[in-house]
Order: sequence, then structure tokens, then C-alpha cells
Amino acid sequence: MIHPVDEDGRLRAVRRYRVLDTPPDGAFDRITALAARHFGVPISIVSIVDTDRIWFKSHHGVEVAQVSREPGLCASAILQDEPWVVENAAIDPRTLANPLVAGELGLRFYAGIPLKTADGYNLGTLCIIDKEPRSMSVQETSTLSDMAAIVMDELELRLNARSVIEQERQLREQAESLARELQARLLPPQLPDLDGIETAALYLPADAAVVGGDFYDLFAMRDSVFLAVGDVSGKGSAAAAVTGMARHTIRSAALLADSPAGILATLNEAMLFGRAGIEIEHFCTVLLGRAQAADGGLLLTLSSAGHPPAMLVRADGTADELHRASSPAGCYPDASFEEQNVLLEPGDRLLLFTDGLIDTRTEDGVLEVDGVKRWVARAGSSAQDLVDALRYGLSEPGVQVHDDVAALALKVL
Amino acid sequence: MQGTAGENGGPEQPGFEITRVELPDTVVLSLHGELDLSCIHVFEAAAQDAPRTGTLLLDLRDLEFMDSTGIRVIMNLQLRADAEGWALVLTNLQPQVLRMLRLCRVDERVRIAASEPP
Repeated sequence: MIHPVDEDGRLRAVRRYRVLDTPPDGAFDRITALAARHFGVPISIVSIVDTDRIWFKSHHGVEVAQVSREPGLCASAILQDEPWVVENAAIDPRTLANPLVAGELGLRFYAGIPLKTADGYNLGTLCIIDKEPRSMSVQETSTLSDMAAIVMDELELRLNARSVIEQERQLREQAESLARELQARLLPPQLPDLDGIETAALYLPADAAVVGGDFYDLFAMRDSVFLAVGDVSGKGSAAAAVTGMARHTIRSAALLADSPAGILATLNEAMLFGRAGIEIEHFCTVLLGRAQAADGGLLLTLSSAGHPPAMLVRADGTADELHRASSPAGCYPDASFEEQNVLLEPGDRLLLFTDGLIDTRTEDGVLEVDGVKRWVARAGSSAQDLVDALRYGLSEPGVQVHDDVAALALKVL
Repeated sequence: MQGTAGENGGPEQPGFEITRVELPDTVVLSLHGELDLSCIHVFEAAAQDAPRTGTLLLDLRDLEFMDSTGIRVIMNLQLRADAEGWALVLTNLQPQVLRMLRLCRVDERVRIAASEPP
């Protein structure tokens, strides 16, 4: 077999265009049909020279779709950059041994123009073939070269379209992985194991590729366990940045102050700090609880910043809302946050959730807190059962979730 | 001022629309449908066009649902009204919308006029 100087580089170029063994393509078939008609020859081919075969992207006037890489015709045409013209193959020493010439097909005339890439590799040829000897004028050679240039333009177009699609796919994958990474950092990697309580959490994004503003957190500090569920208004990376800031501000404030209302006041100040203009860009609703051992159970101190109620599910199954209305954090410098204290007995459970849950549409309308109560009433007795009841309810037919849902459940053991 | 939010929701979504009526000294924006993140830009655009004098009346008779993103736009309208010296008044609040305002104590910061019979 005869090879160009840089055959490895040429084969890499052939692979790059990813044209081998692709289905027929109207654009190339039109060019070979046009060439055959224009030059009055029976056969015209767009060939791509592979490792050990010559594959035809388009073959007008001949049935075969590929031939072996024998010297003389296309295999020789790609060895140089000039048109390769054989006027009578039967007597031309370059071609007389070629099976297509010597064999049944008995080809006599061949004119091939190399299909040359921008970086200088010949992928194959556009060629015209006749069973009779003939000659090519300079003008005819120039016309065939123009047609070969159109073939190359088509190949480039397809390569560019593929690389644009590929780039878009990569960008989309990067964006999705960034969204997942951001989201993962907004949630604790796993809930800590804490004495005397059992916990479970749920996070269901409405759209896996878009970072939402929902978060939850659970951490032990001094003699207390802090639990938080929050929601930053808006979506996307700007909301995600505020969400990360809010979660860390709550943790930092808890290092310095014990009172949930005080922690929310710090969060409010931190979010208002440096606001440009008078308008609110992002606010954050939070439900923050602190639990401390007391009288064989847990004393819960709960404070809300514009967040939907918490649900207290007593050991006997009765469910009550725990709620104190207040402004969300990040809206008003004069906002005040109240606290309420509840004694949780062993077997009692607490459920915190974001508004994505209560805004869920069911066949009976918006779910609301009453709907959450109905879902919770059919749950088993563990913290995980509460979360599973929400997950099950949200997956029921006819239920449409338009927003992210985060929930955190705690049970006193 | 009109707009709908069909493209982000399914066909089963009722959509969201705002109609605007100009009276002497008062602009009335009537909100229709369901307001959430998918159509908040319609409300925000209408809020940007709010008058800088007189009264802006938000008629919420036909607003069947509003999530927290709508609350933020109302809060910002009130902040602008306070800063620029005009009045924001809400009327005909449906129960779910009123609950949302109370949850965030926005009902204490905006003027809510007595509902008129439909």
C-alpha cells in the first residue's frame, strides 16, 4: 500500500470529520450527479480514503460503496495536491494493474481532485470516471476543482454543526453539574446523628438543572440542637449565592447568640447590609428552631421570618400549626422576630417545610397547610415516615409541583 | 398593560394577566389568574410603569393565587411609594392572597381597602 508522508495525521483528520459509514446525504449525491451530467461521464464519486479501504460518501453510476485501497486511482490521487488525471488507464503504467482497470469494470478514464482540509490533509477525492479513454481540458479541470471545493465546504459545514452541537452539550452539562454542585453545598451532606432525636430530610428540586433557593440545616451547638428550613426568593446562581450566605450567617450567628429570634435579626441585618437602592432583590424566609433537653422531652424555641408554619405532630397523631408571623429576612431594617416555646414529649414530631409544598396544586386546588395535615395524618410514626408521606403525596397523579420543596422532620425519642 | 404566562406552564395553567385602567389621580391594575415565578416578569413590568403620583390601586378580585415572588413585588411597590410620596392601595383580596400577606406581615405595611362586592 502507498501512503502519504503523514498518514497518521491524515487518518486523524478523516476521523475528525466523522463521515465514514454515514448514511447517504442529498447534498453530496447532487454534486456527483451534477459532475456526471456536466462532464458526460457515467460515474462520479465522493471518496474518503480510510486505513485500508476507499469508502464512497456518494457514488453516482456505480453500485459498490467501497473498494480496497489499491494504487492507481483515488489512493494515488490523495498522495499529491494536484488534480490526478488518467486519460487511458489501460496503457498508463500508474494504473494498468489496478483491479478496477484490469478487471470486469474495465475503467479507462479517471480524474480526481483531492478533498483537502484547511490543515492540509487529503481526506479523499471528488472523481469522475468513464469506461472510455478521454481527455480533460484546463477549464474542465478547473470546474471539477470548484465542485470538489463545494464538497469540502459541505464537509466543513457538517463538522462545524457537529462541533457547535457538541459545545452546546458540553456547556449544558457544565451548567447542570455546576447547579448540582451549588445545590449540594446548600444542603448538609448528611444529617448529623444526635442523641435523643431522630431526623429525616427531603429535598425535591422542581427542575434539576436550575438551582433553587430552598435549604435546610441541622446542627448541634453547646447544649442545643438548631434546625432551620429556609427559602431565598428567586432562582438561579444569584439566589444560590444568597442561599449559601443565609445558611452560613445562621450558623455563624448561632455561635454568638442562643436565641432563634436574635439569630434571625442578625440574618436580617446581614442581608440588608450593602443593599443598593431601596428595593428588595432577594429576601429569605426562614423557620429556625432551637431544641434543648427539658423534663424528659425537648423544649423547642421557634422563630419565623415570614416562613410558612411548622407542623407539630403529637404522639397521639393530632397535628397543630406552630406559627408567628413576621417579615422575611432581608426586607426591612425595623423587622422584629418573635419566639414561641413548645415542650415536645417523647414520640412527638416536628415537621418544617418550604412554601413549595403548600403551594403544590392538587386536583382539589392548592394544597395549603390543611392539605399537608391530611398527608401527615396517614404517615407512620417515625421522622422518616413523615418525610416519606410528603414524598408520596407529591408523586400522586394529578399533583403538580411548581417550586422546589425542602422539608426537615424531627422526632423526640 | 397585558401579558400572559403560558410558555412556562402547561396548558392546564390558567395563566396570568394584568389590565390597566387610568382614572383621574388613580391607576387601577387588575390582576387576573395565578401569579408565581413563571409570570412574575409581567407583574414586575407593570410595577415599573406605576405612576409616581396619586394612587396605584391593585384590584386582586381575580387573583386566585400568589406565591412569595408576588409578595416581593408588592413590598417593593410600597417601598417606592413611601420614598416617592404616592399611595399604594390593595383591594378585594382572596383568602389565599391575604394569608400570604399576613404570613410576611405585609398586611401591616400596605393599605388594604375594604372589599367591594363583585
